[in-house]
Amino acid sequence: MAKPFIPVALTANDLLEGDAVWWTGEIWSPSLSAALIARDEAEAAGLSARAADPAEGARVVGAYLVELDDGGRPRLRREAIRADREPTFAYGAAAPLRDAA
Amino acid sequence: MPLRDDTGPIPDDWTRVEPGAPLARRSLLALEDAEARGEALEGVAPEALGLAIPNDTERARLAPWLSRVSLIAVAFPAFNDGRGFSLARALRAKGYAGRLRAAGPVIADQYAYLRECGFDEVEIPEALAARQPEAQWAAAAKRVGLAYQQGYDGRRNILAARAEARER
Amino acid sequence: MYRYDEFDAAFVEARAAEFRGQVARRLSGALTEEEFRPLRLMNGLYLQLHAYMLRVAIPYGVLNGGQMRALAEISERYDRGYGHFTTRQNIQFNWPKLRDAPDIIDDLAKVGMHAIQTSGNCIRNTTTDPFAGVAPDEIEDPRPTCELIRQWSSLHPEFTFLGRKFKIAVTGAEADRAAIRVHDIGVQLVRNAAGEPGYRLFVGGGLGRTPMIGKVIRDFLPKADLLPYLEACLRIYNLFGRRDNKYKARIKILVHEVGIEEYARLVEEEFAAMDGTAAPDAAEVARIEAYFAPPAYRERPATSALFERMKREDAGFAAWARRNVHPHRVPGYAAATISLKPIGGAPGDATAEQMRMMAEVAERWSLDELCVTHEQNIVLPHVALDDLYAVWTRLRAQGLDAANRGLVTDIIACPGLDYCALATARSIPVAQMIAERFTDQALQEKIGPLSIKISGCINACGHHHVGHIGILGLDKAGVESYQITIGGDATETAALGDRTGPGFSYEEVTGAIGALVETYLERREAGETFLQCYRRLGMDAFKERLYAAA
Repeated sequence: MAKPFIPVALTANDLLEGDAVWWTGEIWSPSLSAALIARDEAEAAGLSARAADPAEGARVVGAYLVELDDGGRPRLRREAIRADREPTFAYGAAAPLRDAA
Repeated sequence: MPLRDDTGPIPDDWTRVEPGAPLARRSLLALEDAEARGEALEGVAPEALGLAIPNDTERARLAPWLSRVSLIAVAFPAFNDGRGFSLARALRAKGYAGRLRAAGPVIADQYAYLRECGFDEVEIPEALAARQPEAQWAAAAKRVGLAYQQGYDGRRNILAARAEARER
Repeated sequence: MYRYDEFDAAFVEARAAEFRGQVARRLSGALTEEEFRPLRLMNGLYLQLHAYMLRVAIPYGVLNGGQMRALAEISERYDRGYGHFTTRQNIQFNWPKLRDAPDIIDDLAKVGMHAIQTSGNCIRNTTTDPFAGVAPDEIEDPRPTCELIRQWSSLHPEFTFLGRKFKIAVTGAEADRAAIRVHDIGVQLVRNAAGEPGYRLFVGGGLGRTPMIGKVIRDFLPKADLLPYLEACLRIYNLFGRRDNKYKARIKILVHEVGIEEYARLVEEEFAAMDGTAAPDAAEVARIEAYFAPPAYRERPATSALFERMKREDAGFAAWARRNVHPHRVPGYAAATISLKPIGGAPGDATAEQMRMMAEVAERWSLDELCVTHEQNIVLPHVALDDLYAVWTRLRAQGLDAANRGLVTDIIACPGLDYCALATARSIPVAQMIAERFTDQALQEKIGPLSIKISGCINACGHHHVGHIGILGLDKAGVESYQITIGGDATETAALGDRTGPGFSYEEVTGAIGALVETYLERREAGETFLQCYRRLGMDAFKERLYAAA
């Protein structure tokens, strides 16, 4: 039995800004919800071809495919944290500092 | 392939001679080939003889050649494989006085380091030269500024400049 | 402290201009990403999970108030208003943009700072004892040696494209507060039988995926020979170190594979044939040493009535004085640690406001000097005993008065999966959960010296191998799993921790640390630290409780 295809989206980091961006089919968007999701091998191959296009090197760095679950969220924790664009805790001036008891 | 030194692009008057093939006016031979030719090279003037070596060449093997050749071309398999820098400095420290060539995809940003380590010239692939044209190499050569180390490029280093300032 | 002269300043400015040009050439396509990457790394610029990250060099951890203020300003102008002090005594900003990076580098240059060689396969920022220059047990101040190495290693033409990164640490005391035995090269200031100063050199230590304790390559090296000898060490490494596998490219693997005797033989042979260009002249050494002459201390009584009184009157201050105040070689003075490990914070983080406060405190009360420690705290090296209460009051106003230096909540943690592109598990939230469990100051002090070090992947940036308790976060089939080691030690009695056994989930790891600490509290003898207790009892005593519930 063939393994069921796992949907993927194409991501990279913006060259100038550095933030995580997602390929929408037309542009690189900071939002995963705008990403073009490949739902079969052929569509995934299309995204891979985009990732390998040297012209993209002028806009983004390190393009790769991310596997998504049924809800369109990344399957791996690493990718989920990255897609959320923030650490999992409050940092900087928002850090909830408190005294030792 | 494009060759340059501090003066800019220069013609390459050396011929890379295949193993066993007849010598040219100025022959650049692989080290193994030169060793294999043995006595046949004895009458050849250093001006006509050069060695092409990989960057992991054992220095003991090079010792007998240092006074017999006028060019050593050290291969850089990749720009970030830095063994050639050490090999060059070690050869200069041993007293090698001929020309040293860095041959491979080194980038303009490394030009100053190459010069300081004792290289005189770089020979880069055409594709790299197209991406980093001569103007970028000229700029890199000009940018060679202050360094803390004493290199083989004849430039005064920071320590010497400080000593001079102290004298004043 | 060392101050740039016109030549250092020109050097840093030239480098800043070069970097600006490199960024422009990356954007124009003259440099590919593959070519640009090592160049930006050599200027401290990484590309991480969410953003670029810029690591700024703080040579051997020392900076002044003006520099700290400049860091605060950079964090606000170009980043998100905070910075992260690292185990290599540097600071990193987590959210800079490539378009701003040349401007940041320019701003740094204005205050005599830079990001040169804070990353990349080159010689990294030299680290040392944060109490350098004030520690009573010091044979000699290690900082002039560090500065010599800084200059020698800065853009060394031969060693900017090594097989892998290269880290050097220096200590001036027998007590090793710089972890020199887990560095590529460790340098210890010693005196020989004739009383002459020199160095003992360790080589081939390191953490990462193949942790090793460094081996002595020279028991005594005359001072003047240091740089040529280092050059010989580096050249042999550069020529003979492995290039076929980046995980086997560190010098520790070379030393391990050829053996310390053979490596030493090669180095000595090279050293004997050196051309002598590396050794600085005596005038240069004297010039550097002059910068580290003792600052203008005032003559003070050895004790302070005010300090003693405030300890009696304020229990919070008394706790801080017990834990965070350290002896000083000058009567009437102390060194004080500002803990960057408040409960609820991220280890090593400081906001712009906190940085400015630290700058002000240093300028007013510590002869304008601060030192970043490899435990991710900040040391104020020259505080008069009379001023300690005022200092503490200021720190308290910014939440930086945690009295936990060296205690269970003084946790070292790498950025982990929350920031780092390489990480396999989160580190900072684990540190926060453990700290929450040991909030009680009395309990912390009862437990005593205990270093917990957390790495979010096998690269070991959190130094977990040398934590009394080490925690290594891994990914097991998509789930975070934390391996625990105990018995690690980064000091002169260096040891690598032993693995307890199977790992723990994110939810379980705090309880596991609790079990280890409880075992220690129950089984310890009078005056015995966690580390001593483990060395006496061995693994089984701890393992039993640790896995009892499982």
